[in-house]
Amino acid sequence: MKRLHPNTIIYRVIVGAPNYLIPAYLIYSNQSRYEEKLFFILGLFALIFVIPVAVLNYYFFKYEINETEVTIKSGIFAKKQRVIPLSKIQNINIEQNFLQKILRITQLKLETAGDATSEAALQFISYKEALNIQDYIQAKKESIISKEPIDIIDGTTLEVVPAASINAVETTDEIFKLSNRELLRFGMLRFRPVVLLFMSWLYSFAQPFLFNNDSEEFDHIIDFFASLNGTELVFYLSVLVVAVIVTSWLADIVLTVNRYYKFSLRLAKGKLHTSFGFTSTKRGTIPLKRLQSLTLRTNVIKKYFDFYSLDIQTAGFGENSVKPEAVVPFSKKEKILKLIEDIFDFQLPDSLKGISPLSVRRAFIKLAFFHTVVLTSLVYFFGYYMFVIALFYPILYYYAHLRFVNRGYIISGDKLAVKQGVWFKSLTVIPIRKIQTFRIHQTIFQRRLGLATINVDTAAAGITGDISIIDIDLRDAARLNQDIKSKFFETL
Amino acid sequence: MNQLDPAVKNIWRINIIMRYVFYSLAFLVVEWLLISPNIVWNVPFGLISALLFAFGLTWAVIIPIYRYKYWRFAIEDNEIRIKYGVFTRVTTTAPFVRIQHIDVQQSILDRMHGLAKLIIYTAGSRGADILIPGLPLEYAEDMRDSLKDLISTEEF
Repeated sequence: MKRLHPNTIIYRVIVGAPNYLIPAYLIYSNQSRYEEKLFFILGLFALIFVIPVAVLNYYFFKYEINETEVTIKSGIFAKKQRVIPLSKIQNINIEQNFLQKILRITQLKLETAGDATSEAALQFISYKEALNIQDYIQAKKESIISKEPIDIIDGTTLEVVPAASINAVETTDEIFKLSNRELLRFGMLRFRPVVLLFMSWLYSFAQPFLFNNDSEEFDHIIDFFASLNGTELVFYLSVLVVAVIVTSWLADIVLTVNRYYKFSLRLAKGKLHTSFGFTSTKRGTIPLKRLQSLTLRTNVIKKYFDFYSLDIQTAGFGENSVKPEAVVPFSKKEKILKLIEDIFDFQLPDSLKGISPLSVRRAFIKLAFFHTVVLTSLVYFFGYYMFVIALFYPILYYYAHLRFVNRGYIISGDKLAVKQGVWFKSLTVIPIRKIQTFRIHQTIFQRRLGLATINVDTAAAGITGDISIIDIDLRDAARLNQDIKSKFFETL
Repeated sequence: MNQLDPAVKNIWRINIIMRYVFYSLAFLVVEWLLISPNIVWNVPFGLISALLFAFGLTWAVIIPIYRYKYWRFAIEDNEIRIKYGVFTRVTTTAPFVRIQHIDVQQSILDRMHGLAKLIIYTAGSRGADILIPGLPLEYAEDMRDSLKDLISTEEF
């Protein structure tokens, strides 16, 4: 049996460092004699406990991969042995973060079709070894399957050759790649609110570092701001706001470039392989037969420049598949459409059926209701001039209208397409045979208008699995139900 | 489509009453410990709890009647369908081939009434999508056994 890469010990000790160093530091920083002793004890603890545990864990972790299965033995006191048949392995992911890169180790994750508990990870082995294992398992799986095509393990049929809808099975060619120029553009157009929030948070930290609260300097600053008049204050504040926005924009570019550096997508044997990342490299495999839906996304700014992204939701059990996997993070629409056609032999529908126009009324009433509640409480607390906010009513109506315009659905071939979103737009396509349950939902207000909401549930992980078409005419809903039903049993 | 066993109304009633007893007691404790000692307010002690309880009683009388009236379930050629809801109406369908596993569950109240719940799980992200309450125990078990044969072995 084999052992992991020895650098694993170093990695574990470094990563575990905060666990003993932070309490040690805290105690050290408010020194007294007694606590100095404690600090010493903690340091000792690290030496006599943490490091030996890492070493012992390394020593007792062994793995073996043979013709049919992966065997992993672990545990210092409580021994564990896990056997995973090769045929059960669905995904093999290789991941490496920055520190792992320096130590020349990498993580290999084996995802199975069971639940998360039946997964295994080799933390950590050398990159070369990881690639070897990936290739080996891939090859073995195929040979097993070609020998006995059905009933390998408890009746589960494994088809390595994917469904007929998948073309270009034999090619291992790169089908998409992000050039550095495009990557830069991607970062420039990203504008994630999260980064903006994070930046503002960072700025709020700058203050205690720049000036000591007790110093004279700080008093000068306070005096300076107190002496400003209205216009000057507005000027300084807007400078600050612009600074936050510009730095967060730059930070987002850096983060994006770091994450999606050298993004490449390959298609081989019914599986999509992605690899990307600068400081931490990610290599992912997406088996197309586990596909539940695919989503084309954009936002208003990106749409203006004709840029879109494509991600795929797969039937998820493992922690790895919780997030939808980006297949194309950023590209022109035309290119993505071409790609969808190549991979799935499928064209996105040109036009969609709209939802009921009554939806505008309902959405407006809903928005106006909450707006009015907020408005009345503002007027109550801050006085009558808050009535200015009443000017928002036309904007709310316009927004309700936009929501209506941006929603739509259609059945095209054996797939259902659903579009939504005013600022963040998405078009989700679900193969009808992947649907798990179908649900028609009518609130008391929808019933008055003869409207309904439809939920289509798939096995995709998390909330992404549940797609709703909001506010369509009840008769359309019933018709859609019928259509989906007949298509479902037809394609099964 | 089929209706539930009428005895389920009783179970719902007891459940609603128990819930509102809990609410009113909880409020009583909050009022006694937090509100009365700290804030001057003109509401007599216990009035809100009493109102809550009265509301719960009325709710328990009325709602189960309508909930029962609108609850329907049907096993069709190749799918199972349920329909329910007093205010929000929901119709859920699940094809037999999508069923992952089936449970028959009995709470204490169910046992006292000789009833059971049939829960049908799919692989969908919602998990337990179909829950049929208030079925006679044998009926629920028969249903489970006949549906069992239809459970899919297909991958998704």
